[in-house]
Amino acid sequence: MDKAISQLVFTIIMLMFFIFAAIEATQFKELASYFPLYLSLVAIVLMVIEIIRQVINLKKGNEEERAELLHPHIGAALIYSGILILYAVMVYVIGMVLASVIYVFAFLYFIAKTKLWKAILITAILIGAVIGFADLMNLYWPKSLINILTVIFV
Amino acid sequence: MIEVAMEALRVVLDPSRILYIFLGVAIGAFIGVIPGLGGTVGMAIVLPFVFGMDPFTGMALLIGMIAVIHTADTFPSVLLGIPGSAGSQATIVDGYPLAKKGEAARALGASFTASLLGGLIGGIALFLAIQIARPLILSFGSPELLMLSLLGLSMVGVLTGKNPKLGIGAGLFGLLLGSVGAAPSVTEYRYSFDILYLQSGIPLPILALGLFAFPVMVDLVAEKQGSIAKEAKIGSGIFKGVKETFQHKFLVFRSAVLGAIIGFVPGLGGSVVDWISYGLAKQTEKNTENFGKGDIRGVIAPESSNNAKEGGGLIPTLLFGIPGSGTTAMLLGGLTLMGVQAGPRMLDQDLDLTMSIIWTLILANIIGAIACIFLAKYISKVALVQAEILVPILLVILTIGAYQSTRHWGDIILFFAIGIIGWFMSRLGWSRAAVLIGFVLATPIERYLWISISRYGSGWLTNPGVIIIGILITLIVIGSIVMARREKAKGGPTIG
Repeated sequence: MDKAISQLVFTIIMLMFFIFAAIEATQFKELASYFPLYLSLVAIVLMVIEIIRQVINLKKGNEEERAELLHPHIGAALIYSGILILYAVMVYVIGMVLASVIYVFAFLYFIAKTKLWKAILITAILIGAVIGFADLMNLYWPKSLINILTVIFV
Repeated sequence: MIEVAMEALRVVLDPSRILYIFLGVAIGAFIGVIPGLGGTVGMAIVLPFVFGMDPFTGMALLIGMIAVIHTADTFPSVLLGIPGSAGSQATIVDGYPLAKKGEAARALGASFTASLLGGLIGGIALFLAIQIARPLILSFGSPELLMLSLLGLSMVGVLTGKNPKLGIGAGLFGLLLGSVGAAPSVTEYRYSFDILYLQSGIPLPILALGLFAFPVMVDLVAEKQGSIAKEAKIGSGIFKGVKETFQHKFLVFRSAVLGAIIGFVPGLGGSVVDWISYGLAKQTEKNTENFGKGDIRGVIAPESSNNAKEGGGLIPTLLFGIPGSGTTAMLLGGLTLMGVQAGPRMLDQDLDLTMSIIWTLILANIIGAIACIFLAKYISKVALVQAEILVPILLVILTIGAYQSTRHWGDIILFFAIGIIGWFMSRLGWSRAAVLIGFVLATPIERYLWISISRYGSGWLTNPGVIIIGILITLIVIGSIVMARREKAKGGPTIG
């Protein structure tokens, strides 16, 4: 993925965000609107200048600058981002402890390619430490679908 | 002042707080040793857990961690030739050649001692700054504090990013994110879209975790960092390095003072402090022909300055409430989570807390350096941990940490959503530190603005302090844009 194009797309997204923030700010009570409204307006001006500069640069663009990539391993980065997000989905569906056990073990065994005993050992130590620490610090666990269904049906 | 300092020392030496300093030091050492992590990520991980702690204990944990990161980050720099954090890049230049010559222990011994002395000098600089700046800071009103906040934010914006306009844009983005939730001047929920979760604003730990920790995890696993070397031999001679550092005491002092001064300037520090002190050592020392080939002074200079920088960086953070980096922004947020407001109050009502921070900084540097010297053989093994093993472990800890912010599922969703934005920002050269600092400063800036207008009308704009700081901001912004253009004309690196 071309870095210069990605930069332009991201700057346009930011411009849209600032425009949205400015429009939304006009709906607030007068005193609450000044701060976000003026910030957004300054940001919009900056982003427009920056987008024009980037478009001119892209048109002139030398080969070296165009060859720069967003990430040297973009495919891997996107896949791993998805794998990290999968953990959140698992926590929501089956709960924190069970999701962590399955996820950490699977990650270590299938992605990190650690030996089976090592994957089991690291998972056990991590989960033990997390449960102990959570107990010590009175931490809260995220509620899962199973928790919610249990409360409803049992 | 001395009485308050002694009372603060007594508070810090309480066994429960010493325990938290040790915990902070242990976490900091671990974070420092792992290449690719660093102070900001470490802070993001620990921050959610300080919620509800008393400020003295919470600060013991946070400062304990920050203080030793630049001590422990020497391990990968010297042993593997990979910077442990942004502040230890210059150490590689002479540290790694020393390790290749079989003198890794000597380099590490010198580095830990230089870090210890640098950290102490940084702590003393913070103490002296309080004595000198106290009358001046206590005379500041809301207009001056507003302008100082804008000065800090614009400096971070133009100095931390690769493109000043994007840096300022990132700061504005942070300010807007900080305005989500209840408005300070009137009853109004802004950008909450009738979602209950957003009515109390975006939690700082979530923003910090998303912006800094998530991108690191993706890059660690995608780029397979941290698994480059198979072994890291230390050898013997660690105390030879310790002795040599004392022999170069003037170099240590010079570099540490320089580090504290650079740390004081918002937006500087971080990745430049080590290079500046290395360059200065090379220019001012005699017989520099071995610099770059394994000269011990090339290790001592950057290591003295990067630890001293932390003390210097705390001066604007604590005294003005202006963080100069992502790490200090989170520290400031941590103080807010514990019910303390940084700024002039830290020299008045909360002076005891400020003093306890100085003591913690000093103690953590001593504990960290001693632990690194005596446990070097064991700690160094952490640097060899495969990145793929580390990532799922970090993910579990971060997700639990994220959920502690408001104990709402919104925390976890927001963590991943901001994480993706943070990843793009990190790849495209947008300053994430500026976003975070903008976020932290949003409420104080709006409050100072509101107080200035309601109390002085437009008259505050003619205050001498306001005019001077305003001119400074203009000069910095215009100067940085002109310099960026010149750099580009010379063929220097630019983004987009």
